[in-house]
Formats: sequence, C-alpha cells, structure tokens
Amino acid sequence: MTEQAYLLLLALADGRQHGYGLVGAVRELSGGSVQLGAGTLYGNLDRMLAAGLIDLDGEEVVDGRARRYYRLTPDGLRAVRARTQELAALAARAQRALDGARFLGPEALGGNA
Amino acid sequence: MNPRDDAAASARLERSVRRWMNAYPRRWRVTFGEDLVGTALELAVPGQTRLTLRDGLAIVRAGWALRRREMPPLRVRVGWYWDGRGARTHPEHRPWMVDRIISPWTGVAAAMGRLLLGGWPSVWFGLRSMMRGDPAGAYGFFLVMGLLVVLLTGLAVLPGMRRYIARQRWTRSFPDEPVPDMIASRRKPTSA
Repeated sequence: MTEQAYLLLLALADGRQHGYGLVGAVRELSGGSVQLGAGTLYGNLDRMLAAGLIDLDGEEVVDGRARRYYRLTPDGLRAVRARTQELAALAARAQRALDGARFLGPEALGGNA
Repeated sequence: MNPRDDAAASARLERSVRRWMNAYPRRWRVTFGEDLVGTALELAVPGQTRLTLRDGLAIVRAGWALRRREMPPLRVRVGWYWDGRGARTHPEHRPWMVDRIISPWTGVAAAMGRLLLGGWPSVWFGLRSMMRGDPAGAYGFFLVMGLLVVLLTGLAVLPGMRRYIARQRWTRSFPDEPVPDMIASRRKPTSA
C-alpha cells in the first residue's frame, strides 16, 4: 500500500468524504507533506474502488456538478488497521534501534568533540 | 479579479481539465468526469486557466493505468471483436467491452477490421502483381485499397453510422439490456 493510498484510507476512516475534502484531509494528516492533485487523487481512488477498499456513497449537486462521496468498506478498514499496526511495530523497532545509538558517543551523532 | 474574469478563467481551466481527461475511457468520464473536473476547479488557484503539466500528466497516467488494468487477455478480446463472445462468460471484463462499444473510435475500428478481413484477395493480387513485375497492377491495388480505407473510415466516423455500429455491438454483446442513450438512434419516431 502506497503512502498516498494509506493516507486516503485514513482520511475516510472519519466518515464519508468527497474528492476536495479528501485532498484537505490528506494534507492535514501528513502535516502538509503530501499534496494530492486531481490526477493523483482519482488514480488512487480508481485503484481502491477496484480493490474493494472504498465504495461510492451517494452524490450531491454543487454548482450544477455532481460531487461524489466515498466511504471506507470493511475490507478497507481492515487494510488500514493492518497497515497502521505494521507502521507502529516499525516505529517501535526504530525507537529501540535509536535507543541503542546513545552509547556510540557524540562523534557518531555528528558532534566535533 | 472581477467575477467575469474569474468565470472566464474557470471555463478555460475546465476545458483544459477535460482535454487531459480524455486519457480516461468514455464510460469512466460519464461516471466520474464531473467529479474530477469539480475537484480540479476547487483545487485551482484564483485566475488559473490551465492545468499544470504535472497535474495533467498525473491524469493521463491514471487514465492509462485504468485502461491497462481493465484490458482482458488477448483471447477474450479477439473473441469479443469476432462475434461479441465473452460478454456473458467474462462479466469481469464488461467495463472494457462497454468502453469499446461507446468509444468514438468504434466505427473506425470496425471498418478497419472488416477491411483487413475482406481485403486479403486484394492484398494477394497486389503482392502477386509486384512479384511478377507488373507495377500497374500493384499501383491499382494500392489505389483501390487507399480509396476503400478513406471511404470506410469516412463512413464510420459519421455520427449516425458510428451510433449504428455501436448499437449493433451492444445488442450482440448484451441482448437483454436496453441500448444506452448515448448510442441510441437520434431519428425522431414517426407519428401514426
């Protein structure tokens, strides 16, 4: 699962959302580091729809244009939970590795002393 | 920027998005096109009149990726082109079949297919003439084939003919389903 797909699934965990709302939610979740354009957004949505991770959840007409809503499916929720656990386990392993790095001394951390 | 300029910029941006969006199949554009256009307009900066190259290429990549994902194996494609076979036995490839039927290029593809199938005697004649050192015969062959290509392609791109060919394919592939509006006959029903 790519980072963009993971962030989109996370954004939908809060409830149904439309395209523009998803772009904003992903930007917020990533701390501003992931800015989706329309092409990237719909490319990801196509793949997740085909994989059954998300589904359409109605539409509304805004300025004469149909705006579709997307929601997470049970499979999507399972996938995003599994990915979150993997990332949490990775973060824990990374923390342990960094804790060990304290004993290397200041030179290993880029110090001059 | 006054509201009039803003509306003009928005209209130009919308045209730009729609041009890039042609990378997606028509079926997708009918279902999700307005959604994508709306989102692209909402994401635009004030006064933006065209999609950036990066965003445009992202749409093209996504559109072609979708086409590639939905393309059935060769044997299914050949069977379907031949006689509509596979529409019932391979429902998972229905999106691809619908795309082929409602594509604006359906008529041209059908004309070319028939030309290739029916043109073998002419090809044989042309090649034989060339091998026998009869340039007049070979030129005649190329002239006839060229005229046929122009004629068949010209006929096939006429909107009425295009819809007719698409309707034929639809009823052959999905005989129990009504023909979609976009390929239905535009002929007005005659009053009794």
